Amino acid sequence: MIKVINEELGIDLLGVLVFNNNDIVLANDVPGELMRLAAFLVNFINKVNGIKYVKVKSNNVLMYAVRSGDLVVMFLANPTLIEGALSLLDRYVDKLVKMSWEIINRAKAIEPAITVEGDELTEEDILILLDYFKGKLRELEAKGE
Amino acid sequence: MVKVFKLVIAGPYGAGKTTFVKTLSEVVPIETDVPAQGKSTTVAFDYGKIRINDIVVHLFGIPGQERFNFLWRIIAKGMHAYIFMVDSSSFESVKSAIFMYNYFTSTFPTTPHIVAANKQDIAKVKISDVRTILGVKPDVKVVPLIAINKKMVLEALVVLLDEVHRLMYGSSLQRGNSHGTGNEKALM
Repeated sequence: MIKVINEELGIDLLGVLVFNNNDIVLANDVPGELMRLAAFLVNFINKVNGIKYVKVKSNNVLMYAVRSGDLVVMFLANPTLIEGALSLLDRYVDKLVKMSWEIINRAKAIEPAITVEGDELTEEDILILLDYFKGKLRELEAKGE
Repeated sequence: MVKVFKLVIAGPYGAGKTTFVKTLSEVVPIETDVPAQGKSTTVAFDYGKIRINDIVVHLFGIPGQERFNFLWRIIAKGMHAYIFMVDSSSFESVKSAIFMYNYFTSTFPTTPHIVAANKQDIAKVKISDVRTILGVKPDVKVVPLIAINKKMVLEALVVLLDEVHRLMYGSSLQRGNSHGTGNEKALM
């Protein structure tokens, strides 16, 4: 997504992040220092009611965050970026929010699975598994695959 | 009673874990991939399963990027075994796996595992070099893999299950196994 934005707008974003409360839903490879700054900003946004947009500039990053319901979309740009260009980023918010909800919903669907732990297996169980997969291999070989 | 066999597919970004789960799962696997760097990457985990009599094999593909390493331990908890997958199409890709491999072998030192050198159809790194770069112990097998090739995926799984059996019950069931430990030149 960051590549698409940079190409379409002719800018050089450092990162695009989407948070659900304080959890990261979407992120590109952002250096740890910037990630910590972003987390700090999101924490602030989540604590203050009614904030829709936040713009923060430091020596090494310009952070532009947009709230959309429970989600916060954050763009990390070089501080030399003309601030007027930030409004152009708004057009990508809906798409990022939509992508993020898809991920969140898929994660919810498989949430019970994440806690699955393996049962104690007997030697017979292991042999059943081995026989099954060897049988599948033989089937493929018989088909000439 | 239905029993759970938990299998984890680990490895760095772009190693082919999602493809492996898709190739093996008999149900439509759940993927959590998003576009990244012109490809796609897993941000939560991939999940598939296979039912064999009263045993359900749960397959988990772990997100490869280090910023998701808080998920590695959570997903790996209670696993029976893991396949550590690397992209053998470039030295850089294999080297990018060192941190994650060290994490897994030090965090789960007694869990049976094999290393799968994926993308053998376009491989640039020999299996013996994969072993050297990752520092794979001599008793751990390194197998060739093309994750879109179901036969190779099944072969890797059979090798892993044989390792599980060997470590649990002290004997290998594989006869004439070409996936030796330390003599991988024969595979190339």
